[in-house]
Amino acid sequence: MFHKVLTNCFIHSINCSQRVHFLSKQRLLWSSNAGHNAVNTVISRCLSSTPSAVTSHTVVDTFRTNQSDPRLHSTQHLAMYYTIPADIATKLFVLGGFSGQQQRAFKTFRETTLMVRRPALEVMDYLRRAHYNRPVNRYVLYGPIGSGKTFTANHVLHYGFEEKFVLLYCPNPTDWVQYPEETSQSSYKGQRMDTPIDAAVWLQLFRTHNNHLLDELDLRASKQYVWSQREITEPGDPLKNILEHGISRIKHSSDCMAVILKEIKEQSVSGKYRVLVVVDKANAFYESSKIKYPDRSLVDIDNITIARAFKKLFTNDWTNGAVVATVDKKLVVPYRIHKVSRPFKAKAKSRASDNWGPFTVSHISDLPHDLLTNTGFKHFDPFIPIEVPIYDDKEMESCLNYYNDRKWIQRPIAKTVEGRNEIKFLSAFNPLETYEICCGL
Amino acid sequence: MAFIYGSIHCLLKSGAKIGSPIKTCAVGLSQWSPQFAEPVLETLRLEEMQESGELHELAFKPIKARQSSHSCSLFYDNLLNRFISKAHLKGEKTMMRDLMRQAFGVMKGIQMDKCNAQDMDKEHIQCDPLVIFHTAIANCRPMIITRPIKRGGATYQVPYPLKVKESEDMAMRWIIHAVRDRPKPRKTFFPEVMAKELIDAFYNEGKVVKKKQDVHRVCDANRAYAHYRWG
Repeated sequence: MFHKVLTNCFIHSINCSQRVHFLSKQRLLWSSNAGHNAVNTVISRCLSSTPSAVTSHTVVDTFRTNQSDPRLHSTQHLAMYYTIPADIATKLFVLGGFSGQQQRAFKTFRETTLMVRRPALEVMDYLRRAHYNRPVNRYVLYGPIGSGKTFTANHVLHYGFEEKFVLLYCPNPTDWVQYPEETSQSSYKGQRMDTPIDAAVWLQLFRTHNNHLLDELDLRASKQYVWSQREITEPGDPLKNILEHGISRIKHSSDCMAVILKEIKEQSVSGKYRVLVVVDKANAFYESSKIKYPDRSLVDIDNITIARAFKKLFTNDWTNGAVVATVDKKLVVPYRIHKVSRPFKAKAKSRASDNWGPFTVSHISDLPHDLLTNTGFKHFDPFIPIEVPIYDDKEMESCLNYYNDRKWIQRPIAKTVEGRNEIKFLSAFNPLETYEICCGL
Repeated sequence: MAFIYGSIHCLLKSGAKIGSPIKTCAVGLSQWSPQFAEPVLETLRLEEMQESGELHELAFKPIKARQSSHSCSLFYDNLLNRFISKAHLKGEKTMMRDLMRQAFGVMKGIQMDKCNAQDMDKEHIQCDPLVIFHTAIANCRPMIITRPIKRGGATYQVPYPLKVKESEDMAMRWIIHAVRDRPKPRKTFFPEVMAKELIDAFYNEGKVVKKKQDVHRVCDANRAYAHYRWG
């Protein structure tokens, strides 16, 4: 009832001489669908009768929302930061998902917050409306470096977690394909390379994400798997056994992981569950790897067991699932994050990993067609490309307000209007650049 | 030759007094003739200068060109710029600027963790990275150093007072050497190490402040030779 009173205040611009109880800021904001300014006039008018309350209301708090369930995020939450509850955040992102710098920032801010932005809402809307009995949809997030593709993917991951999807999350394919902890020759097929430790770690992540779901769904193996003479999985054995076996017997973990992915993909036809595959830097699967055979020749991605198994999820020959992938420009050339003053010549060949340089990626396009190679494009085609743009005005204001609130911006001059304008100018509204500039302020 | 000697002599004589800020160029050797005025970098000061009439005086003076590393950004800091000029290698100032920015971020992280740990004393922990930087350099600045003077065949270490700029340069040099002086292969990177050094210096602890105190101790030990400054 109070909501209606306030929306009437807004729409008809009634001077609130009526008795209005003090409501929490967030409920005021949710009740009206328009931008800040209208809401703030409502607040200032309605609260003019309670002078003590006016002082505690400030414009800056419009950057945050209490709604921590991504299923309920909508356009009224745009440009607002929402907090992922701490236990869920540790569960989802225990393996990675956020870079070391970002994790340090979360530690300093003492919370894991993401901004609700349009690309994430778009993906979540499609996930809600999709026909899951039809072949899987692939959503590819693309955009300039630092525009928030990883954060969008993580937002969708949280959504999938709340919606009880079976989560298959690969935060860093480069860890498997370029810098694995350990490689060994596969016992299943001679040509293949296993990555035992990485597979075991991923199985633990899978268990953390999906433990309760596996108990509920009671998925079973569909055929016999012989791990060794004494360790055999019979058809009808629960998949949890294979999971536990993979984690405890690291030697077989790559094969266990491949089996689990295969089983989940095949059994999705039953419709008992839906799968959400979230992959960051999906184009790593289509670039060359850095792993070498004992004779120093490079291993193909299709010969790395876990990468091969994961790649099979990207094709649309299965149902009851969705694939959310990000494409990253930085993988295409040896990319150095540090800014260098000397001019570098942009080389024409952009895919040679032997070249030392060019260390810049400005000559490469952001689009999925150019970043997923020919094979990748054939796997993904047709996909739904979703652009993750840089901040707009409202989001930028929200970001700076949040940094102010978290005391990340310390210098007094950076808190003034001129200071904020300068930050906007220097960062060109790029989210990563804003963070890096505010590191020094 | 005599003319050059004469102008160097003038330079030494016309050096600023101890404790006052020094102009970046000496009058005799500058490419700018003496009429040229320094450019005003702080755009926010322009309004005040308009009111006080300084701007009117500058309006008819020729003004020196701005150095590339001096910007009229609101976040520009002179001391930080000098530090970056000293610390960078191979002309890569952009990289050093970025590394210092990261170091400031790390410093903020460390200080804010302290803030968060003890909720009571939130106001007392300094989290502004530029203030920490300035204080650190001020804490590391030696006030007097010893210089070798030869008198009668023997070399004495004679205590000399330092000008502000010289002492600041020395402090910055010591900090940079302390950061670079770690074993190779380097497991820790520049931002983290720099942040730790600056925070230690801010609290008057650490290698660099110890070095300053050692220098002061040597000066104190050699104060008997102070009269050798004047022959």
